[in-house]
Amino acid sequence: MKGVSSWLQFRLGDQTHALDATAVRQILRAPRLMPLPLTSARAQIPGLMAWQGRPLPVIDLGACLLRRSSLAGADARFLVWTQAQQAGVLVVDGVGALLRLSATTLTRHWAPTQPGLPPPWNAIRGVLHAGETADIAPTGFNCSLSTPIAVFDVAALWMACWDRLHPADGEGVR
Amino acid sequence: MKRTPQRSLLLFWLIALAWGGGMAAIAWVSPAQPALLLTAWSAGAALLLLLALYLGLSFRLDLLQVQQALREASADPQAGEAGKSALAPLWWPLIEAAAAQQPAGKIQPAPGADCINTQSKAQIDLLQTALAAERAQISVWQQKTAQAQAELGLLRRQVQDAAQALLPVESVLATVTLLPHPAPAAVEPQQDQSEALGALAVTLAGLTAEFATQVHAANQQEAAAAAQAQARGAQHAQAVATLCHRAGQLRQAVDDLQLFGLNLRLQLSHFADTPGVDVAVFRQAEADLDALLGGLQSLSADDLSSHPATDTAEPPVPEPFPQVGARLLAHLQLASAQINAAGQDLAQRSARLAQARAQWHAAAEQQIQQLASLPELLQRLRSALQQAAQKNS
Repeated sequence: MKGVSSWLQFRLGDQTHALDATAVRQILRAPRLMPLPLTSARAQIPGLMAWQGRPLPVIDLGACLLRRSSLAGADARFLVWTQAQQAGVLVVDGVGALLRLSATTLTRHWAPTQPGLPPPWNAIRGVLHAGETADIAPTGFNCSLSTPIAVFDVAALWMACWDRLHPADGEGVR
Repeated sequence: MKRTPQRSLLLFWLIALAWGGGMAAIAWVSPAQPALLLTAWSAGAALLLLLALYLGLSFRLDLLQVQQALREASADPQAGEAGKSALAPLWWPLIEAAAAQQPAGKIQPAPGADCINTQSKAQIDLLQTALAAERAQISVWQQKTAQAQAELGLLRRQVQDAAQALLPVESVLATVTLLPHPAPAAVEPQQDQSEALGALAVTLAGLTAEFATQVHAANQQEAAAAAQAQARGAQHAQAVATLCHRAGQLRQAVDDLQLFGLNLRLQLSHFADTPGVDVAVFRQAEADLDALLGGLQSLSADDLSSHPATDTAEPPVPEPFPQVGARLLAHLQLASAQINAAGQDLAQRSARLAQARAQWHAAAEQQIQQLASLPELLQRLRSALQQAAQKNS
């Protein structure tokens, strides 16, 4: 389906953001985690999760962006993402609708960000907004772009969070 | 040797000493003769008595001689010298002093004697005037005394009249006190009223008891209805709990299904990008899946919006006897309360009436006692009046 973009909405606190749906491979609820011996970053990295025979590190996105854990929430979801050779798991407060926008529609509702934002907000690629016409609608979900949605690049977000947690030895983990 | 008082006393002392020594000697020589001792004592005592009389008489004679000598010495010093020789030397200085104080010539009246006589006459006149005033005052007092006696006689007559007037009263009181204690005429109507009120109170008490029984039965019915309603409420609460549990399970299933649909939707989107795939089929599957996810999300949203209200709301308690039973019970309770209040009011009135009756009886008894004691008081008053009349007479 060329010319159509999909974004998966997720919730952090009272804000709704979105990720490129092509990078998200699975959504899980409360999988079994293996804690890592990283006592200083235990809140941000709860542990490792086994996914299709691979150990994937788990990053609490709420702890990374909002300084409070998303694992404590009842509706916490684990987003498994893969992109190229990278893979990981992001924990968010909740998962919303799946947005599908054509290229022509996207040009009216897409606002790219300017470079220079501090990490991890530099992982935002653009903002989806309602624009002048309300002809955008998510597929199947009762939500609309009443408020702007920040679209993150999942790999950049992962790296920003990781570098923020371990700026010295981040390269080795990657 | 001339007789002097000192010598007389010395003689008397010597004789008494001799008498005492003789008595001691007799008692020592013959102690077993009390008659002799008594005789000696009696004789001695008689002799001492005679001696004392003699000495007293002689002392009086000496005093008379001294007085005579003083008079003679004051009249004529030579005659005083002659009389002095008959006396003891003890009295001589006294006689010589009287002779020395004798004036040389005959006593002449003083120069101011006329003045003294004039003053004496004036004093006598004043005394006579005071005596006349005193006599006038005495006559006035005599007149007042006569007037007081006249008033006292009048008062005495009045007292006697009052005593005579009290005689019939005493007789009447004696008759009254001798009578038995009859119930006053005013008591009987009140007793009738109290009996009627008592009967009415008994009737009302029975009526109150009957209503209380009915109220008790109504309360029992109410308690039974409440128990039944409570049982139904418990059943309803249990049913609600079961429904909540099932709703929770359904919510969990919806959530699972939603998550599954979202994952499936993601997989379909991944597969749709695969080259050589029939895009139309995937688009149709994605559309169906989006519709399903939309329905699930709306269902989940409705459940979330309605769940808190149903979870916290109390189950409605069914009313066993709606409206009619409640009104009847309220009427019964109101009537029973009014009857109880009326009964209490009547009881209070009866109590007050009985108390007033007791107070009236007590007052009547006290008055009868006072009437009984009144003749005695009148008798005392009469005796006091008689005594006063006797004193005045």
